[in-house]
Amino acid sequence: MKACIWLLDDDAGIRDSLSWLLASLDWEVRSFAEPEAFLQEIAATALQPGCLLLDIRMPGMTGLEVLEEVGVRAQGLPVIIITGHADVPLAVAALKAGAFDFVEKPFNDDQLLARINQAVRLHQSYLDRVKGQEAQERLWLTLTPREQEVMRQLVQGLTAREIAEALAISPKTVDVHRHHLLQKMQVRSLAELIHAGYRLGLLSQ
Amino acid sequence: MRFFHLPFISLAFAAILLLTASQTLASQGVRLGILAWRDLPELHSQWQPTLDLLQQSLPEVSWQLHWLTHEELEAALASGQLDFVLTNPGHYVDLSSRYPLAPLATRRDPHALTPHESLGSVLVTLAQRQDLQHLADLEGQTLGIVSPQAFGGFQLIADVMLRQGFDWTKELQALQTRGFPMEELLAALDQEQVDAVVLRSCLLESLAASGQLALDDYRILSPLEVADYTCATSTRLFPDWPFLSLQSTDSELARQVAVALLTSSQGRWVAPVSYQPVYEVFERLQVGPFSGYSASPLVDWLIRHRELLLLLASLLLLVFIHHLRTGYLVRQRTRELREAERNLRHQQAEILEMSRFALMGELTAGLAHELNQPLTSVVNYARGSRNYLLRPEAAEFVYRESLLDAMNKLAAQGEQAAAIIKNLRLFLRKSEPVYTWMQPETVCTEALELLAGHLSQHQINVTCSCTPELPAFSANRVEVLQILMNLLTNAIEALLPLEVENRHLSLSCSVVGNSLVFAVEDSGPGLQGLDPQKILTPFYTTKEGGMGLGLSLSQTLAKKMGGHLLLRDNPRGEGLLALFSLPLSGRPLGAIKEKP
Repeated sequence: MKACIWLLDDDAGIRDSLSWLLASLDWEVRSFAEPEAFLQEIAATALQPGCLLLDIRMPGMTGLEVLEEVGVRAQGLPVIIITGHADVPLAVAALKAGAFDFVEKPFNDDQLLARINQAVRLHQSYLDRVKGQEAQERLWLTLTPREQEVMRQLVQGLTAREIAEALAISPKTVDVHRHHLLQKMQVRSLAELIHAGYRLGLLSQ
Repeated sequence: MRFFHLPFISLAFAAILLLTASQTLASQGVRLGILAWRDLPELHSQWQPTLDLLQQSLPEVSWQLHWLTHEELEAALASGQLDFVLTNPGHYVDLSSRYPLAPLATRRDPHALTPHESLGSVLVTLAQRQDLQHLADLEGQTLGIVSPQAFGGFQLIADVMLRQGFDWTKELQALQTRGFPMEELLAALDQEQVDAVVLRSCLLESLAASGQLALDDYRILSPLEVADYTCATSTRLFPDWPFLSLQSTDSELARQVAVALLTSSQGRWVAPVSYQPVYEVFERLQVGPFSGYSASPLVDWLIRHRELLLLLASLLLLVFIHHLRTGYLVRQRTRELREAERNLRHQQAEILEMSRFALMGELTAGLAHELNQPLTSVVNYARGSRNYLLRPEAAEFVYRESLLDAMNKLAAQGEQAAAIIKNLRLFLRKSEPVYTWMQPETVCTEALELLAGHLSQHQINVTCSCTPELPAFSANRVEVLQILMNLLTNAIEALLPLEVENRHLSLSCSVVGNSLVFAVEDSGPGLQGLDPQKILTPFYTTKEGGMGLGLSLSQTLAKKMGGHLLLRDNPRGEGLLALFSLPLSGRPLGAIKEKP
């Protein structure tokens, strides 16, 4: 899916010129003048990779409030703060609130584009991770209760013999379950199976 | 010559004397106090006829005689131990102001015709002292007297001296008080211990009559002829001694005594005469009842009301002191107020300057924000356009290279404009006095950048010679810039009247000792004889329309950071050299407080 650069700034000149600059580099840009419109849109398209360029000083909702709201509605979306006059306390507050970076107007375009690229890549990998986890959760639900039990034991690091003793079944039956687990969880080795179990959070249970 | 008299004492009197010697004043009997002004035997012979008279007239009365000195007599009166008193007129007048004495009779001297004029005083010297003729001749001489309280023995002569303007306290060599009895004075005169003596009149004659001296041996000074008076006198004459009763004396007894005295065939006593002349003498001398009083009614009144006057004088003094103190305080307060006013004016002017800066800062902050947005847009459009021109599709475009170049310049100029605004904002930002570490060359560059427009407008040739090896220093960045800009602006203004090719300005920085020194040199006219210290004081200006605050403000700011300003003619040539030094010490400069 093509990455999308979200732009939230109350200044029309900045919105238009920045869109023009980003479009010249083949980025898809969606710009907003008001936080509310943006937040609605981002919630609907949360799975598209991208990043948000956010003007920290706006009338109405402040940049920091928007930052907080993005954390709720579009978890994982990196936010780059743009500002006309950087001051240290504001930058610290923004970074503490989870901003990805902080860029001062007028932009050094190389630097800005580099930061946008990093942010988009970060978001892409975040989305991939989320996606992989969702797939594994779907596979986990196809397992029988006994298979789920055996997988938990395997992730805990128990041997086939120990599992057989714990569940009062023969080691051979454990081997059968393990074979089915590799097939059903679509992994090729025991190591991958344990990794999948780890990602599912079985270790902590 | 000494006087040795065999006492002649009658038997009757011997008994009385015995009583007296016992000094039992409290015992019953009528007590008569007599002033003892001569030797007792003399006194006895003097008063014997009177005592005999009383004894015979009032045989039922037992008389106690007390021979007393002036002081003893007064003490006896004070304790109420006397019924009758015999004393001289002077002493009587003195006592009359304090004790209730009433004269029953006045003695009549056989030498005198009237009892009004029977007592005087003589100034006696040795016959061979021809140099002493008058009272005035006593100047520089020694005068012997019995006592200053003696009436005939001194006070009468003193009155004459006073009236003749002879101040005995100054003009005499000495006034010797030799005490009673009075005959001793003649002995002193004979031995030439004194030049002259004062005697009661008739004493000399009575001594001569008893053969104790020869009148020819002596001479009277300033003799006064009084008709029918057989004794020599140097003064006018006064009433003789009074016989006095007291208020406590039994009135019947007093009447009987008076009758006895006045009806005696001896004729020694007459009805009491007026002692007013004595009062007049005492008033003139300011002694006795008049001691402490002045003859002048005004002075007299002043003395009578001296407590009130003293109080008034103290009050006046207090008022005067208060007035002085108030005056002093007013002057002091006025001086303080004037000083405070002057300080206030300076501060107000500095604050005005600061507030103009602050206002400019506010304006610039707003303007900078407004300008930054479009400048950002310009840069963005330029960059975007450049990106499009770099695409392969635009490869064939004829003006591609020119446009790319223009877009790059457009972006660069936009960024430059934004940077200028950003610097201006930082410079004028309302900042707390925050001390930051800076490189000297950065500060110099920044100051020159801020004035770049000004410098190029007036075509001023600037050289900046700050080397990068200089140590970093800690100070208030904005204030350092403010000072440097002030010095540079002054230099620029000094260069304006010159030809363009002669306008040279140099900003340099070096380390001298433990200080960092910024130097601004111009090729202008220099100090032109002006006092550099005066230039640094507030409100001193040579510019039309100038407030005269720039340099004084800079001086204040420099001092606040522990540094100082120095202006002088450039020793390396023409123009002014302005030096601004800051300490390079390791201690945090924020700790340096401005002196109050």
